[in-house]
Amino acid sequence: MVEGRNTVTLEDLLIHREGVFRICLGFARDYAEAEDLAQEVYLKAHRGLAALKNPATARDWLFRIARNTCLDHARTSRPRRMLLFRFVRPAAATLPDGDDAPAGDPRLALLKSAVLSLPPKLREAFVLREYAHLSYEDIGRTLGLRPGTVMSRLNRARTSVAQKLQESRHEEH
Amino acid sequence: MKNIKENPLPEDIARLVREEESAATARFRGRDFTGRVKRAMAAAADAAPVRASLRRVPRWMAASAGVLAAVAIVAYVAVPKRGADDGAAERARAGLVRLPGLDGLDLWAKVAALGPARLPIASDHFAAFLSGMKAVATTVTTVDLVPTEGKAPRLGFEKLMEILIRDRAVEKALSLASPKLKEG
Repeated sequence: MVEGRNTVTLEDLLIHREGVFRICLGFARDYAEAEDLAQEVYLKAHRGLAALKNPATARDWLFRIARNTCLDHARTSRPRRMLLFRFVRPAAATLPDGDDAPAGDPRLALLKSAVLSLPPKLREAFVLREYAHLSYEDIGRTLGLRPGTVMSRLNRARTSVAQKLQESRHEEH
Repeated sequence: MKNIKENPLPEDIARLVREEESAATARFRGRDFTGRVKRAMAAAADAAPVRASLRRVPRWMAASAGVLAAVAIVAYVAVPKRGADDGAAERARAGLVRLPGLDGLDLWAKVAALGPARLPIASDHFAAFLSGMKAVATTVTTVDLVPTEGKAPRLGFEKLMEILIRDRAVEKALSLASPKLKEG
């Protein structure tokens, strides 16, 4: 938002595109999915710009859209993923054209699996902190929570992810 | 918040997250995301008039159209067509007549078995349908009555009066013998 202006434009929202992308990356299984989700977030935000009452909260509002879009996507794509997992080789988690594909790293695949298996409440706190690097106050504003609740959820999420990765390593050895 | 001690992410996991994030972010920066979003918006704007016109259709109208379509499909399947294969219709009818209160549908089969009146709803078959119904009624009456053997004897006037008087007398006796009931 430009100083003195009380409306927000798409250009104003696009300033936060990296933050939106990082949130999507935390929720998504791979880069391509994250980019698609980020685009969807901006399409939704553009459609809903008129509903944005207070331009000062544009960033929180945009990040909230990102979080909702990603959680919706995770919920609706689960049956499709289960079908793919059942009938297709699980090689779909690779990047389309990236030789430096992070999803190709088995450790990263384990991390993704651990994050995706978190309950939504813990997952969103984890992603907003570890991927989007938001402060507890910012996460609280985005999720409508007190900072103490954010910290509590974040602690549980970190413990859960660490335990899951530990278990996976033990299974490998 | 003061009582909660922060539990940091183990360093190896934090490093993994940072690696993923930095690689993906670098890649994201190298792409024209703004252009991509604007192209997607333009495409969405092109499709908007169609979506808007669909959105203008009231919900009750869409629901009514859906119900009508469902009724039409059911009617198409359930009403037997002249000269057509009755397999599906027969199966639907057999299922329907088993439902409580719908056993009257069995009349269809009787009508259909009697003659060409196979489509009772069609106006050009209405007369044929009526004749079929009459024939069914006759058949049903004949079946339901106790069959008589030979020709019934014609009653004379005296015999008829005798039956009537006897009938009235029995009725009177019964009404006198029975306790009086107050109505209401």
